[in-house]
Amino acid sequence: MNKKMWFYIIKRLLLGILTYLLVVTVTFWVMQMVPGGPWTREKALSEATIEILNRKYGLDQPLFIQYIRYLGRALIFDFGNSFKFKGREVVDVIKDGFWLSFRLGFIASLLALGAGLFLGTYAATHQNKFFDRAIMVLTTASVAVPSFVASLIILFVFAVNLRWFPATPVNADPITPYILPIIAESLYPTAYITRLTRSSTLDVLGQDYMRTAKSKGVRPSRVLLKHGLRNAVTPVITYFGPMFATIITGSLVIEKIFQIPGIGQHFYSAITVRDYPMIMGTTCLLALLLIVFTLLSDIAYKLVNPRVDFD
Amino acid sequence: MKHNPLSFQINTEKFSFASESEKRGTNLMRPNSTFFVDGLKRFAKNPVAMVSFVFIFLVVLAVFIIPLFYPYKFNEILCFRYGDVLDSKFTYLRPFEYAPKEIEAMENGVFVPPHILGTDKEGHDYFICLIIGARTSLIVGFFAAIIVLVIGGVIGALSGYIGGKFDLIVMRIVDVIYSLPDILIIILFSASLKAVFDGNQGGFLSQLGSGFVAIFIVFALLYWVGMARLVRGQVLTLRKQEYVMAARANGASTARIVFKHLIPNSMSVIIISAALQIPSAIFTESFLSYLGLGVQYPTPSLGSLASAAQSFITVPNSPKLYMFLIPAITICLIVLSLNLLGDGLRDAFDPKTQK
Repeated sequence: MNKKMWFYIIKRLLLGILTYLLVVTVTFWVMQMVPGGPWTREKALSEATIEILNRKYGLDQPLFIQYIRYLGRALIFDFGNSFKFKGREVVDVIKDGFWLSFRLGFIASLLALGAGLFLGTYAATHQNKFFDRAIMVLTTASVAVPSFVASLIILFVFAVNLRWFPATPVNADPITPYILPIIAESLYPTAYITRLTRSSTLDVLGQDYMRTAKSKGVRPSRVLLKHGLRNAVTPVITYFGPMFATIITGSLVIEKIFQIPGIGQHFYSAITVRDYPMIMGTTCLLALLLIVFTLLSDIAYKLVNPRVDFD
Repeated sequence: MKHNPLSFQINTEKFSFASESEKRGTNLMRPNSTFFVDGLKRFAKNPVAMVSFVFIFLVVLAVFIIPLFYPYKFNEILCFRYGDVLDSKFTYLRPFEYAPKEIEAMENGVFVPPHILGTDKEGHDYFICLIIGARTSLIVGFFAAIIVLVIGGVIGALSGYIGGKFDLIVMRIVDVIYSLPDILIIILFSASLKAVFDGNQGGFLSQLGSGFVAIFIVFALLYWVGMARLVRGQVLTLRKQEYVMAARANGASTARIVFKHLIPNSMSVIIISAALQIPSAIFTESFLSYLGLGVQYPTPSLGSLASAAQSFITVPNSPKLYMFLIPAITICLIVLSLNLLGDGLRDAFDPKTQK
């Protein structure tokens, strides 16, 4: 940890805080655009009631004052109560959902990393053989499939037709209902990591030190793992950090399709029932999680790779 | 003339005129060709890119020509052709199936065009919905790419050209925007824009649909940053190139440098990068439409068609499965071939990948 490293970390922290404040600001002003205040109900409230409620929640203040207050509350993650879940704080609702999304995303990203590294290395060492060609075609094609299409097709094949897995979560069963969503979440990153690994391994295989190691009589598997993969893995790490951050904050589409009560599902349902505190809270918290995990992965990346220069 | 062996004078008798074939040997090895023609030749040799190009060309042709002569309109509820009563017999027809009233009309000698892909829940002809849906997706992708190209291009070029404090500030803004969670912001925008439009029906923007406008706003606000970085980088590196300096030293005018050197060397990279925004925008649109935040009913998009038909996927062996599969596969094919086309163009026209 030298001076440059600390400088980098501080710079990234400041950038992260700035980004969070920007997200909070954008959410506040976008929500101001939406017609109808928080008291718009099917049964109209009386003028007097609205006035009392406005005073109670500080909505009678000028917009700018409201904005500053909101900013202050967003910094301590106080987004008030959810409209939909009566009497529950937004943060509490989100917390449960996040824990579920986090676990699913964690497993999915590990799966993607393992499968991607293996398939990519195998394809690179068997270049232009049938398996390599097949992997290239499959990964190219799968990058063009929207995640809702992929998830629905997985659901259709394995849950509806083959009936190997239940289509929706079953309370008593902690494992099987989550297998399909994990696979669905890991599809795209697996394809991406496979391609990255393949191309960087191909680069590395042509290097002089690989030939040297081979000519010294090092076992082929050891050459590949110790000298090859170690150098080929750098672009994968670069991709893995932000990918991990995205995947653990839950996928809206996949959680909707497999009916998993994760954070993405909460966000979606908040939008459909126009639960504004929920929308604002989820946006801000998801943004914060993304920022924090991207930051952590960037810093870890710089620590692992001393050769990378600090911009 | 006797030649002194010690003389330095050249003996002209030892020389003869070069023959025509010898003259040809000093020519350049290949005919003179421009960068653009070279690129086209390379592109034509790439079968994958050519197939993608032909596919996209046919799709674009189809989505703009078929609606001109197709007997049904995408927003036409078919039963109203046979009276003012809503008739549920017109909904969910199978491909080439006719509703009872249509059979009756045919028995009376009226020609009823077939429903190639049947009808949907409201009794629209499904084939024309698909065509219009694909058109919507392509239009969204195209205009989103144009927005990114213009905004990112102008800001990036200015930033690279002016430099100094301006460049520093712009690049910090770019950094912050770059780290914004794009999907969240898109959803936030489209959800709230939807609420705004629902409250004010009939306006031009509300006819376009919240998803449309949200996608354009988001591309205008968020996605220009990648393009701005790219253009700025191009401007900065090209200004320092030796061939630009050489051209200037040879007395080339600024216009000549710009049009002969800067534009050909940077435009291909920039335009290809903009072209690759098209599939990404189509992806985003289908995602939003799937969530019900995309283009407004009754305008169909591939995402909303797939979304409307997704319930058939939870029923084993549903005969309506094609209503999901066709729009879904169309999205995949369009995005795939646009990606491959972009890659092919990059291989053919990017100066850095030339061998």
